[in-house]
Amino acid sequence: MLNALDGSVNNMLTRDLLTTSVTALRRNKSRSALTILGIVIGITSVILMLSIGQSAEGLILNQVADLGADLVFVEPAAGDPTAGPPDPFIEQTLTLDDAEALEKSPYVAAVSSTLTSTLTVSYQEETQFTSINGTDHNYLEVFPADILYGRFLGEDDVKSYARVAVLGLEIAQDLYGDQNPVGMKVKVGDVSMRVIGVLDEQGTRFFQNLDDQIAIPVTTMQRDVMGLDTVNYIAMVAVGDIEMVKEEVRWVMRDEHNIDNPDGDSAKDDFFVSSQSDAVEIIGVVGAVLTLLLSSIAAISLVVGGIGIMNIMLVSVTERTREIGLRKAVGATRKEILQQFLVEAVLLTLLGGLAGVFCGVVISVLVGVVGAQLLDGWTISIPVSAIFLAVIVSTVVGVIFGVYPARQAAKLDPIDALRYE
Amino acid sequence: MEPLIRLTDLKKTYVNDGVETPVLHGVSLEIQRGEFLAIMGPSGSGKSTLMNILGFLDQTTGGHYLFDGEDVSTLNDDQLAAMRRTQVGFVFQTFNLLPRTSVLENVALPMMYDRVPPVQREQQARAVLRAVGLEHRLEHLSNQLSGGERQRVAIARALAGNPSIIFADEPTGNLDTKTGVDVLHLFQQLHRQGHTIVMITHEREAAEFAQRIVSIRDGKILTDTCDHAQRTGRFSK
Repeated sequence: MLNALDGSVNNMLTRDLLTTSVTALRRNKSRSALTILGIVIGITSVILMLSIGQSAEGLILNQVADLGADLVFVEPAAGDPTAGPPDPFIEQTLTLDDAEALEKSPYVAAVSSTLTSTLTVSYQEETQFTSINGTDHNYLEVFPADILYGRFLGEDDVKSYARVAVLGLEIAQDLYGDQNPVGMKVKVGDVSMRVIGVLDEQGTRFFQNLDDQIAIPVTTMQRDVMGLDTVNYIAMVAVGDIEMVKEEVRWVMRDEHNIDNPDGDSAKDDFFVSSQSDAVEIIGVVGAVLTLLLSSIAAISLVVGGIGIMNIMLVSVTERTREIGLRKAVGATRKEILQQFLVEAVLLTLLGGLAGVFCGVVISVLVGVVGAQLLDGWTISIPVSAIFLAVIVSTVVGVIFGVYPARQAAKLDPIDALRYE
Repeated sequence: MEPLIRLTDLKKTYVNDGVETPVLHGVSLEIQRGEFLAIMGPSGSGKSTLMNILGFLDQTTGGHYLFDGEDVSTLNDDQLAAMRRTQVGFVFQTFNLLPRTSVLENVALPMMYDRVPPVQREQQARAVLRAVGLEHRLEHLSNQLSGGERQRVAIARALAGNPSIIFADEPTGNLDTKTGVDVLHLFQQLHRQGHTIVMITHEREAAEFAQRIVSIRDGKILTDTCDHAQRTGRFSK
């Protein structure tokens, strides 16, 4: 489009075209400013969404990377894992025997079983409601954390159904204040236990507060606290190629659960094997869907903004009917009138786009500053491509919504236009 | 010598919702270079339609219009625009200046569409504004001027592109008598300098300033009188 506006023989000079359009817009400064507001808001949200989306994805992927991409999980699941979100009432099919069987495989290391629940914990008058992980000595190899006081669970603790607990930093402070709680009593559900260690601050992972959790031996959790003989998941570190390890784990599990499944059809399994890299993939998909969703909202706001531009341009054409008539009388062609109004519309949206980029970047930086305070590892990232996209999109919006009013102006009959009251 | 304008049996019929309204019923007229001609008639006589066709704002529906020997009844929209740009200048009853725009810019406007380079445009605009006696008003905005000044800006604008012919549509209609007479004197002065001027008016007093009066009624030419000597004798200072 803009190529056609150069100063070739068949056209008025580009400079004149721009000057004429800018002059017209400046004559109605406040109206022009209000008109572009819709575009400004639209582009601001585009920039904001893309930048926050990128920051959030970066944050989550960093957390995943911290865990290491070579983790493999076994969870109870019947059939197709893509069928929907995990069902909390799903039949629990995993036991400690499964973990034992997996431990024998040369393809996995540090097998750790976990049974989780949210229970009341108390010390003297302090009572809290927190997440209890019944787990084992391998837990820290799968989910690394530093020990602040005492020690973590040992193999003996698991074997002997020991009534011992390792506290996250936050729950420790909630229950014991500033004291070192190692050696003190803690009541988990109805069971009294002894604190043997406190983990150092870990922050959040996947929106879970890791510092508000308590680890106790999985055996104690099963027999004394929950009265169950299942576990929620088994985590392990893969040795070798991750896909091969997952397949190995599946065969071990099928063997354990006596599932006759020679074709390896996962729909017949009563468990589901996943890895950290799957999670990365899923996060990517979720991110893409979210971006798509937010982009559609942004697109709608741009369309609304574009309609606003069109509306004002139509008003402007009507108001300036006599001016258009005069321009035609002194020799302006249809094309030149069309170009003038189109350039006005594009200048409006482009201006709105640039203002939107500015607002979007400023707000992104502010969000980044606040985000960095609230969430560990939140970084400010403003995608440069988003800025180019915003500029291109606002230009296109200007052309699309400017064409109709510009055509209305161009096809005015000069005689009628000159007489227009 | 070939006349600047030669109309042969010119007809114009407007069609509105299938209803035909004939406005011009065969007008034949020749206009020579350097003439100052008044087309006079009451409202509804077809004089404005005639001017619109002469000024390339409208097309005929019958007959022939030769401009400088060339048939212009077949020109398309862009070609008509080009004719307006290069051959004619308009002066309107309501001035039609761009609002809140300087006198200089208003006068330079037609030259912008004629791709005259900016510097040359300004020089030429200054020159024609001097010719109409407005050199002290160059930077004023059009809405800061009096009616007479506005019409002189409009005349300067019509002159700016150095056109072959100037069309003035009721140029004194919105002016008081004295200012109107000043404007008419300006036309006479331009005529003496060699410009071709066609003025549309319904007032005989205004038409008397012209060298030739064509009176038109019901889409036909009634009289065509040329009495240059007498009128210039009576009205020139």
